Amino acid sequence: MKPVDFAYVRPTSTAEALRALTDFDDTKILAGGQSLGPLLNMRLVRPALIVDINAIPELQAIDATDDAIRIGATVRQRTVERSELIARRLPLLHAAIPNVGHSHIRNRGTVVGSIVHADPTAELPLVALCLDAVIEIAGQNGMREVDVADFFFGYLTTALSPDEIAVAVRFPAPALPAGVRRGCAFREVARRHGDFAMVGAAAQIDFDIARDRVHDVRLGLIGVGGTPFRFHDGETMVRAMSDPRVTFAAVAAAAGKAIDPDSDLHATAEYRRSVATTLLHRVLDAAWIDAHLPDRTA
Amino acid sequence: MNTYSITLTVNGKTITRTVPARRSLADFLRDDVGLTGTHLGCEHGVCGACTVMLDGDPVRSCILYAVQVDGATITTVEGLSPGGTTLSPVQDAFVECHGLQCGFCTPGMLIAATALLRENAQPTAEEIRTELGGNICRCTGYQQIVESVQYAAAHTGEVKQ
Amino acid sequence: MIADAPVKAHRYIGKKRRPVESRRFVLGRGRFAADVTMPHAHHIAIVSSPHAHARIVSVDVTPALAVDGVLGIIDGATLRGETNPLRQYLDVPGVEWFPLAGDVTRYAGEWVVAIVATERAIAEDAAELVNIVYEPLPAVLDPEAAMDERSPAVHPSHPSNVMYRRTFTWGPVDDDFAQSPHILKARYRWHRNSTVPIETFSVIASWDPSMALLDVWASIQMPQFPEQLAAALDIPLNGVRVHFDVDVGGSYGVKRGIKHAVLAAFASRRFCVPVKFVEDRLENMRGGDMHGPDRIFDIEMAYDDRGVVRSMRMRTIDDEGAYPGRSPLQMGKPVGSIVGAYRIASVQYEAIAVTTNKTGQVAVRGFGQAPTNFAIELSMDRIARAVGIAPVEVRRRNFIQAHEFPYTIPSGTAYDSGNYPTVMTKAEDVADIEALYRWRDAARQEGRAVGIGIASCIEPGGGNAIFEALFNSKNTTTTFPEGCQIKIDRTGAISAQIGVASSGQGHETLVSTVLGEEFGIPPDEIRVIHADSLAGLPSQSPVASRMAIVLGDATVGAARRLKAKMVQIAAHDLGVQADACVWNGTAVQAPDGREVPWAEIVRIALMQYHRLPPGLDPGLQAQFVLEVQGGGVLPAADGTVQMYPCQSFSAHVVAIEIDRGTGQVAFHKYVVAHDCGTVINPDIVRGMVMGGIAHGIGAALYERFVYDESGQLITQTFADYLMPSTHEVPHVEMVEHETPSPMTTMGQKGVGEGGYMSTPAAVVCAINDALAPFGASVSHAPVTPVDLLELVR
Repeated sequence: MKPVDFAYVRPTSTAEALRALTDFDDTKILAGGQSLGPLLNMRLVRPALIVDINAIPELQAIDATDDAIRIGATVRQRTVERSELIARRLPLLHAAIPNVGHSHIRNRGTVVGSIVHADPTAELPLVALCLDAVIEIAGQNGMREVDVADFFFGYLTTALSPDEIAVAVRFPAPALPAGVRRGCAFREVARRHGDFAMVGAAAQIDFDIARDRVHDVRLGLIGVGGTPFRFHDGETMVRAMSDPRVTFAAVAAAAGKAIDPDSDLHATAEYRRSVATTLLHRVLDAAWIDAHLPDRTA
Repeated sequence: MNTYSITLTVNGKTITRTVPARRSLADFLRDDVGLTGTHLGCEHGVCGACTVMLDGDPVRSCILYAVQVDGATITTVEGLSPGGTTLSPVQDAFVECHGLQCGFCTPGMLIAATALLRENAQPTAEEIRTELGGNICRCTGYQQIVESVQYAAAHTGEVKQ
Repeated sequence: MIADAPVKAHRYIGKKRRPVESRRFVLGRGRFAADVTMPHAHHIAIVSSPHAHARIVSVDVTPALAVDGVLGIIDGATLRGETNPLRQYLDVPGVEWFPLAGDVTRYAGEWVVAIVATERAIAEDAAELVNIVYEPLPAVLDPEAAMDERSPAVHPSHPSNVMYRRTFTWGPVDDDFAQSPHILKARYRWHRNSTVPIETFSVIASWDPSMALLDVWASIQMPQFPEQLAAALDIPLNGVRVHFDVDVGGSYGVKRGIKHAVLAAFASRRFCVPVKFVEDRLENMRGGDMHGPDRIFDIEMAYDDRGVVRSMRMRTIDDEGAYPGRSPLQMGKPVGSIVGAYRIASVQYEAIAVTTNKTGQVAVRGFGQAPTNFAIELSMDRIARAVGIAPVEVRRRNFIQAHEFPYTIPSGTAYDSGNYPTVMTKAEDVADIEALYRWRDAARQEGRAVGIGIASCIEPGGGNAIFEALFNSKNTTTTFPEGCQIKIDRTGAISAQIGVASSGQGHETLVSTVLGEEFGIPPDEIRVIHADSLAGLPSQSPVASRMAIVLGDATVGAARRLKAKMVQIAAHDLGVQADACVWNGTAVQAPDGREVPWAEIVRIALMQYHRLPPGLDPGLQAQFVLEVQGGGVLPAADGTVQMYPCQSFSAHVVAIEIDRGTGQVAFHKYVVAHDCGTVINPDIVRGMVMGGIAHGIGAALYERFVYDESGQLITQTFADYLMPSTHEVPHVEMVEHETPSPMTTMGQKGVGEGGYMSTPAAVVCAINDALAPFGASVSHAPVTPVDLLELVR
């Protein structure tokens, strides 16, 4: 399984990369290559030119401000996995990342690359969606930004044009208000450990200890449609909740009704619906416990 | 045919070759450098037989292209052995504990195990299984592989023939 | 060759020893077929059919030929006009099988055109430019539908899609059923999977016109591979040299590759260059013809109030795919252990081989025993449940007892030895089965879906392939040999030569250990090499868990011939009778105590002809070719036959939990007790058992070749065909027992296939135990979370 013959460039600036994208009709960006490589080898993609962006310095950094954490396009998943900064300020991302493939894949795969590849069973697009991330895009006419909520169109299809480069993903990461504790959980069901999920669920609960109420909540599912699913209605239910046991069961049941999963080789629609319900319940419980652990601080 | 000149270090030796862009790192190592210890099992990044070290990290060489690693440092299974004939502690451990049968997945396993022990000198069985979870073996059922890594962890530092 | 029970403690047999093969593998110096390079070698890529069934209207290779680097292109018409069809083992005139399709393609993925180019990538470029016009034809995909005369014919020149159908009746089955108070009826489905080695099939063939010699290096595990190559290519057999000094990257039965090799050899001869074909993963999965058994079982068991089974009727339908080949014989080998470990008195067995428009099947680890054991063991559990006794108990009540060996089963095979109750007890003890039952019952109180599964399985070994004759009376082959030759050089060093390629079984270690034991020399000092097919002795290849049995005994035979000669030489030198001397481990000793040491005997034999006994040829070399023990007899008219000589045995205790929210299965405990007679190398035996269990877990829970309704294989890559990793194979505790075989010189039996033959049964029995409180059960493999969730929610 050898690819078609393609040309290859490795620019050292974003501007140079953008110019290269217009040199041929069919070009592909190469970052981690963990998704692109198999497609190339199986000739499912047949580019005339590969633009390798791994040598562009401005894409290689994690930048943190008080309000946000910005992960450059070629930052490896493994770097994010080991980052103490991410563990502290983006714990949902930290919780999800060990589920992405296998550590050797994560040595090369990138966070932005996984998001842009937009497999509906991939973990990082869900995390980006749940955390209201923003994709920073360099195009032929300058920079633009797209909220992740507007980024995924369908299976492997996004708002990114072939002549654009996603240069970073920016996660809002403001400090938690005093007295608010954050708990999160990510669970997935895959056929084997490390496979793409059949169904996955993410929950992040920010709980205000003093006021004994939910300050903020993020809920999402993967494997339940052509794109990751942000369960806003469920979040509304959780924010208004009184008894977590009752609410979480109701939220999980409501999720089952809100999704329209597909059947494929590995799972039927009914299975996905049922497991989505179960997993959402489980991540809610786990995030709740996580938020109430002693020493959990912002 | 789009060809490019690359210069990289493989097992400590600097080499320069001209390759088509589409040549995988695995094929480059096997065919252009003559190091056939790295094996191809699937060519779509799942089985792990092609695992080599790129700048110290284990990666799948079937979904990397040689042109990408211009300037990089690669270690293959052949490079694990000091001098090419003595066995590293990990190699010796796999022989002692019968962590291989047909030998086809073994180079990838050795690279993965070596990288693991560099980061975590005393891994638990669980940690070993996690780090080696991306390398498929069809012969051993993994148990003697886990034991090999445990043995290597306990015997690092001994010189082997 | 009947042996006495071992009388002395072994020095090397049964002791820990590092396998000699391992060193080259860890150094990255294994020599796999894809590693073999030759100057001017060209590469093959394949154009395959996208249709389940289609007529080929036209093939235009012109644009492909124009690609720079393409040496030539072979189409079906050319190949079929200049080679003979590949071997069929059934008597199926009109069913022809060639490496490339002719007028009709019979499965999606069948090879149609082969491109030969300077590089594989270029061959693939050219392959995309070949224009083939197909006229799709109706396809048949379901094996039972294929039996219906109205369904599309896969081979119109054959009367039907049923390639083989025979019913065997051994004993008074109808009477036994009539007299039994209870009858179990069950249907089981063993879905198509295979052992899928990580190395795909690889071959490099080089035709030398100056010597009229075809050299082949291939990743092969196949009986009569040189013979079938020669026959297909119309080359005299002594014009084919298959090099067995190739390391095979796992086979577990499937590395047959006869069509790959014929294609490469044909191309080499045609284009006068070495031709290399390294099948890629897609070619392998879709078109390599390496799928495994694909079975439906209908079973009836007649049993009494105590759960003792008196009689069994078994019907099995096997979906061969489009070309039957050797695979239907996988319904024949199980005849040799058709009652499993049990004292079932009479059996009716119907075997039906059906063709459909799918990829072809091949021999897979166990050669049909895995699905057969699955059906038997799941049935035993159902009987246990019906009678209200534990799964272990039903087996104990039915076991062939230790004192009953050799025990002849109704189909005519004598089981050599065994002690099933003791091995079962060992498994129970190591598993602490009482504690497991308590764990299970406590977990059930909490509403968890947990279960314990037991399986006890026969692992026949030895490779008496008399099922060839059983399924085809025109085949009267009864010789299934294995040979070993040894030579001692003038420094006294021993070399041995075996006529097979190894795929991880450690044959070099086996032979050197046995020779070390026979001669009293450290095995690491003994060199074992792999001959080629011209230099090597007859071999039936390392299939059927046979090599410890037959190669072990052939090695002993050669060693003893050589020792006899050495005694003769020494006796002559001492001036005494040979039969008065003994080999004492380092020297030949006369009754009066005088000795001739090893080095001196060597010197006399190789360099001092004047001191040799008259008429004795110089040198120290010996050959021994063994007929498989118990072999040499054709099946009787009713199909009774002595199949394999030795029966190993294992008992498995498995505890699992099904996650009631996801249907996923997790292992709580896995214990196996294993008896393969005398163990020669403990680590190798353990590795074989563990590896087989991993394959079995794959078959039980993960691995399946799935075809959609249009006949497309949708599990073509490792993203969809799921093989167990370190996470899916649990820690397994293994305990050994040794019931020596009376059939072999050291008491050794075979090992290699047992885990795959037994584990699927053990795991699915555990699943059924977990499902029992829910009033549910499954009767197929693999069992998926989707299957289970709806049953345990």
